[in-house]
Amino acid sequence: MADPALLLHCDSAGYYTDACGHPPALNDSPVGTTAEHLFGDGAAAPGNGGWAAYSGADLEAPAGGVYTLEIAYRLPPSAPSSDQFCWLVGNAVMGIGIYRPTGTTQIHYLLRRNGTTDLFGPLINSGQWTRLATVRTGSGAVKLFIDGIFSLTSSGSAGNATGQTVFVGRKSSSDHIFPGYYDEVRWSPGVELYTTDYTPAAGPFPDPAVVGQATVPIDVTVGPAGVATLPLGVTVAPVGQAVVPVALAVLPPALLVGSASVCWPNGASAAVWGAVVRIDGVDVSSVIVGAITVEVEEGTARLADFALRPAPGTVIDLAGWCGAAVAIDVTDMSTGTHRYGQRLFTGVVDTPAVDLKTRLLTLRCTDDLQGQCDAAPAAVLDALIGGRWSPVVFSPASAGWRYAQDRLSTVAASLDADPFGALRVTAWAPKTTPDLSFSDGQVLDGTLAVQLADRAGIVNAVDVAFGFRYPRLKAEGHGVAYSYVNMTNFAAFVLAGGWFLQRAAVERAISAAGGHLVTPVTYDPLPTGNVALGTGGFWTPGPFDDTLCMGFTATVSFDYSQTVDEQHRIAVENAASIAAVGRQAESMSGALEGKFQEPESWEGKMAGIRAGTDPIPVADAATVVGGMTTAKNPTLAPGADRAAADEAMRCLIDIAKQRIQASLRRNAVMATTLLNPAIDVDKTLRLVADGVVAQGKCRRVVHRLDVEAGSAISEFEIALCRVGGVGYAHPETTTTAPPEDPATSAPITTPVLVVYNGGAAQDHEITITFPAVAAGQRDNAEPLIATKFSAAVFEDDFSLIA
Amino acid sequence: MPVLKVGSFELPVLASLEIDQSYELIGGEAIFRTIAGTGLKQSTWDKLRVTTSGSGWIPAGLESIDTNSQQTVACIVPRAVPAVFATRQATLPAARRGDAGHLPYGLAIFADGQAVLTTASLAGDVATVDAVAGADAYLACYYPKITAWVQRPAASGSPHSASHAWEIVAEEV
Repeated sequence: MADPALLLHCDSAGYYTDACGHPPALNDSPVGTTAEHLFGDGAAAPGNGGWAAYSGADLEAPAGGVYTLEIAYRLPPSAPSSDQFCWLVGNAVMGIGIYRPTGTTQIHYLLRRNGTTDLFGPLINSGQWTRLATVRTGSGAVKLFIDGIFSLTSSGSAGNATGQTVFVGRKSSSDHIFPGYYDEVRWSPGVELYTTDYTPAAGPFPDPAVVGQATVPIDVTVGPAGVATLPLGVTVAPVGQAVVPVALAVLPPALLVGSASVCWPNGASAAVWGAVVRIDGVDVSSVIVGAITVEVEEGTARLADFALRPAPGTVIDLAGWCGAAVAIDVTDMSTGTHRYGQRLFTGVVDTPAVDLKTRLLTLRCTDDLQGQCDAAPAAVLDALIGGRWSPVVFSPASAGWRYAQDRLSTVAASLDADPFGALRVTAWAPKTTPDLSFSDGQVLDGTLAVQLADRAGIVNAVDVAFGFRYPRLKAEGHGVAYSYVNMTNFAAFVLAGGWFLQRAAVERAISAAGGHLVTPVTYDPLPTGNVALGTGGFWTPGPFDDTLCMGFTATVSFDYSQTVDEQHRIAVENAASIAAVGRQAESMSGALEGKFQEPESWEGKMAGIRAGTDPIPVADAATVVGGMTTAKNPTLAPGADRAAADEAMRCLIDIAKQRIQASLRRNAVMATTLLNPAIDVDKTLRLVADGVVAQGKCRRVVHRLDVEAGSAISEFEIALCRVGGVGYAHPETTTTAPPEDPATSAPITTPVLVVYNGGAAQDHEITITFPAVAAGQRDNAEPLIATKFSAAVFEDDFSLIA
Repeated sequence: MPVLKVGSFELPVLASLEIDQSYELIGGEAIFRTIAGTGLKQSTWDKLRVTTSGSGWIPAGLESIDTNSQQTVACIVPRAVPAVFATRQATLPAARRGDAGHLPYGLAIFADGQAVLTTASLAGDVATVDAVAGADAYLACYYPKITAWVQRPAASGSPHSASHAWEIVAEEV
């Protein structure tokens, strides 16, 4: 059934709210009431003259088209009648109204048809809730149904388009108001809902269908024995269908855990097994020929190979094979039908090949691990993998698979997908308790092999060189205090004809030397009163005395920067392996340039700030301390600052640790057993057979199913790391950033030299000489910072008895 | 004497004066040995392969069999299913001959090794062997009739001795 275009439930939540989403244009304050209702909790009561209009292109029934208009009303008999027409709902072309002659309880129904009004009745107003429906038929005739009973029809004529606006409560501002209540208004253009008598619905009209998808996360805890029930409730909108595809497989726990397998003889019975291969959901097992192979290896995509022999005469859509979804299950066939299916592979066809001679279609399939990583957002990969990442070490442009590989290089783990294609990260460190154990009774004869790592491939030390260059801000603070005359020798100085020192000369001398005043100079002022000269005369203060001084103190700074190039030499080592086979080192390097304002412009800016001419403060500066050369490692731009350098070094250290761990776990024990779907690269396997004891993470497994030959086997490989023996505790240094080269202050040993030629016969110049900047303070510094980290490796149980 | 039928083709008696038929179950069956020496058996499906060969005085005419269509092969060597002694009943496979002269029958086995031919009545797939006084055990026997792919037959003959030999292999579908 099609959805309506307009649907009002007239409930208290919104008396004029349209469930189909058209906003009402309310006029003259229409009201509603909860004192009355047909369904729901309220009814519209336009009693004070209010009405609502709804507009929309989808509200129009086209010319010649059918429609259905429904409304329920209640007109209390006490409502005065008035020989007036009043409309419940409609517009110029269609509608339903009521006419109440004065002095009677009669009512007539009005049907609007193409602009003319037909009057039907009289009928008696019961005062009860009455359901009305008007239907325009294909011939143009308009019918009226009262409470589901076909009552009246108007004559037919071509039907006009009904317009895009529907009025409720009136149909124009000149209509008379309807003095009753109405509820459940439904306008369905284009639909002829009723042709004969019908039973009106026992509840409100159903809301329009909502199309969408919902995900239901299901959590089931199953007790160790008994029947598990999964109550699943789905609420469906009254119109439409809900399809809930649920696939449920109930497996004996022993099969899930791997302690039993459908390909294992069950007690004294032979294992009768089967394979089910589905392509795009279609079971193609009946046309599979030869062996099915599923290869799983840590950190790489899962691969499957099999061949099909389509029935002769089938048309093969060659292009359609690539990308087809593939699922391979192994099942128990002991009852003659497939049961206990366990997934071995979920993926897509990667490479189809056709052999024209044998008419075989060979399919190579992959679980598209790289594609999945490329499609995953970085946040998902971050949460999955953990680890570290730095734009200094890795390319910021990497995304998807490359980004995942970058992150993975800092953790001792691999990223691959489980048999259902879900991404998972499995740590290389095996579990203490193995998931599966194999002994002489499970390993097939002649398949056990041991492969030991060669010495040349071992890496037990990684030398990381990291350079971090940045400018170090320096300030030389010179305290200058000079006095050439005081009150004890003032008279003598005057009598000798000495010249007083001009304040301006002081400041000139300081700036001539290239220094900057940190604070204004403090001058010793000339005496403010007469000074007896001892000869009977007096020295009196003059009008220019405030340009002169008897001495001064000042703090002068020289601001400059020094380029520091920190040379970090980080050694990441595994001591036990070095002791065993010697130091086998690899090297890695990285560099970062800290971004700050260019030193030259910074020095110019500092000059302006000290001089007071530059009002904009500088980003960073060393604090001036008199008598000291102070230094400060400035705050650098984010992304190229200390934090970035630290994170880059932590990244490199983690990569080094992973490198060492990877190179030390290249030992392997390989064996074959009857197929067990639980053998996977996220499992820890223990093997005790033929004098070999090995417990470690499964690195690779190949499942081979040959239905024709009847054999189903799993060839697995256990990765083993052994340096000091089980129980050997390798020291591990937590990865932290190496320390920075500290910015130290050094005292200035050479004092400032002030020479003032103030005598009568001298040149009256003041010269201030500051000590030169020591070369070590200004030249490029390359401090060498050496740190050492211990990398621990896990120890696997691995021994061999000759 | 049982007559070999392949589809609508009936083997003439004179072409099959000497006739042998062998049954073989083909299919997935593998026995693996572990390091400990234990045998582990895995199996998948099994199907019947019937190899019939014979010779006679006249050519058999097997070339007329359409080897590109599935055919029903009505075999001539009976197979036996031991019956439950108390009820004398055994469940026979549905793929069996039911034409006259090739109906299932019974064998009564005596303690001294004698086997006495007897009749068997059928209810669906369950055969009940008629009782024979003094019998120790009963066997229900039937002639298999399988739907099979027939491989192209081989035939040979010798005009000097006026003999014709042939062989045909059928594998259950």
